[in-house]
Amino acid sequence: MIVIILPDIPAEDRLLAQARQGDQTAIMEIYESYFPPIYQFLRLRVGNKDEAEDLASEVFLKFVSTVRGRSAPNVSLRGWLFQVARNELHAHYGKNLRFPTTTLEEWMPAASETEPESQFIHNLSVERSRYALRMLVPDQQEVLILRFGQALSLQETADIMGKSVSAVKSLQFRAVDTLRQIVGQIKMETDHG
Amino acid sequence: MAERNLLDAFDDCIDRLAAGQSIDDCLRAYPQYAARLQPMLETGALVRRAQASQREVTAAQDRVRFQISQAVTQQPSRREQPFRRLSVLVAGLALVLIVGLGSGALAQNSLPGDMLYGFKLTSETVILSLSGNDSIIAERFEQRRIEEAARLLELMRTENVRFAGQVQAIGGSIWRVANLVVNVESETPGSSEVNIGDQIRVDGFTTPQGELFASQITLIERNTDEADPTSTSVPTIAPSFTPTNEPSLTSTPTATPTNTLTPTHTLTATLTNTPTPSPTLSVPPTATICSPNKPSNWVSYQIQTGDTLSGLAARTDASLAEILAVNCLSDARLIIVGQEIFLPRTPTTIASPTPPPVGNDNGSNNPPPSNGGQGDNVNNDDNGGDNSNSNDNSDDNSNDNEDNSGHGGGSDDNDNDDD
Repeated sequence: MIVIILPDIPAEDRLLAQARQGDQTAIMEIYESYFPPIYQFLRLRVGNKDEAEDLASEVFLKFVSTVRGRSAPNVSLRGWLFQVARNELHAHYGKNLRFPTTTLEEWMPAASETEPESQFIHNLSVERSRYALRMLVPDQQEVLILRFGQALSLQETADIMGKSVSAVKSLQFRAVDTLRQIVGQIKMETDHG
Repeated sequence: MAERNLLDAFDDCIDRLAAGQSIDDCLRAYPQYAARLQPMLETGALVRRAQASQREVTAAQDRVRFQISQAVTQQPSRREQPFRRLSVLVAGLALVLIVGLGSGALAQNSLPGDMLYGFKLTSETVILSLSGNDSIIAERFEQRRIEEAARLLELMRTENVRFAGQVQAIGGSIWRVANLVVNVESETPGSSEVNIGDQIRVDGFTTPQGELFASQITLIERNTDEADPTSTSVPTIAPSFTPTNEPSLTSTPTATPTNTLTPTHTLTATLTNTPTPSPTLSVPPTATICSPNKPSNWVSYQIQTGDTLSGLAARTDASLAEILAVNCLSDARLIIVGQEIFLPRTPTTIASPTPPPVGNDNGSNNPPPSNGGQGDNVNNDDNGGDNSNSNDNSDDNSNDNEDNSGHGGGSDDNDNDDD
């Protein structure tokens, strides 16, 4: 049994080459493989499921309509899809989209009892994790979603975000550092609230 | 500069997590930063926790699928446009006539995917047919295909390529054809019947990483010079070593052909040079053929789940480049579980060799049986296996959002999927 450890770039490129030739099966195969990561990326950036679904469908419609043309992805397929997803996001909500506008109490009702920090982090619910993530500026959110959430390489992330590798390297560090402070703050609030 | 190193260590840890290693694996790799890295990596892990459940994603994907497949079927197929091809041909002919037969037109430097590339091919077809299919001209055009592929690789462009040439070496899935490194997987059509020395046609594509992958191999002519199908590592240079005192065999610089050097002398000299690799890692002198050879003091190692070449390099105090070179690997990502590679020594273990603990039943869909790699039963490390950690790791192993059924624990948290 052979298992490819890291993202299967050759297979991806082969699929893309076939799709560019107009192979419909290959295009649908790309949809099956890449919808989940694109959806996940969008889901963490927008307010609800429906918006994420709409945007994800926009991304793949755009892919279908351009894959055979001159503006077809000339770089990695994944990178291209994430780039389009990011552009869609910015086109719909502006570059400074930032969530949430609500307070934590409105965002989610539950409070937790006092617990050690590591325990607290692990018990943070999906909601609270999202809340904390959305307190970051968009660039920081995106770098974390791409690197930690979707396991993209540093280079891919840099390409998608239009930044240098070293800029992304510091950005991801700062982003996590800030997220950690936010989590600490939320913990304080819930402890004393 | 310490801060810079910390950034790099953190970055490397993210890659390790992505490759399936645990936070503890990473902390062990950077003991000097462990105290700072641990809370950061745990925080980073929140991102996965925040993701939508598998159920939500699948539902959305099902709803959108119809829309996409509709759009796909509405796309016109290129094959339904015969006039387009015809018009290219006419335009190509016109260009050839205007510019003159093959004189330095812009198109002649174009590459696959370029606008003028169609003209280039068309003009070649015309020239070839006008020449009465002259074999020398045909060969020159074939050579162009190889040069184009090489150029695309240099430019890291993604294009389809097609060229013909001799198979110079086969090392697993890495072949060398017409001096190009080609990735040929065992399931690539046509690849199984090819031996070193055969003349083949390669249909494939180039990648943004500067790699060339074959999608189909077509045997043009079998190598009849030497019936030696068993040995894959012996290159085909052998037939060219005729005992005549040829000056072209420049691998032995001392042998100037004017001297009264006996032919046998040069023969033995070159023969000892090529087939047996010298233990020092110098590149073989004449040919650019690569076949993995184990240096005498190196060991064989089987790739395990979670291994990365850079990780293995670090664990064996070798450089990544060195390992790539010895194993004839063109790309650090191209390793597979179970693959055998050569390393300077047995890698220091990072995960404890004990099998995964009983409570860890996430692995129901993990096929590799040997050393699950993530069993983080810390019990023998100097690294302070504090109690909270061993709890945490069982959580970290659940990459799959929908995997709650496997957990006995009470703190399931991945399943609420809407706001």
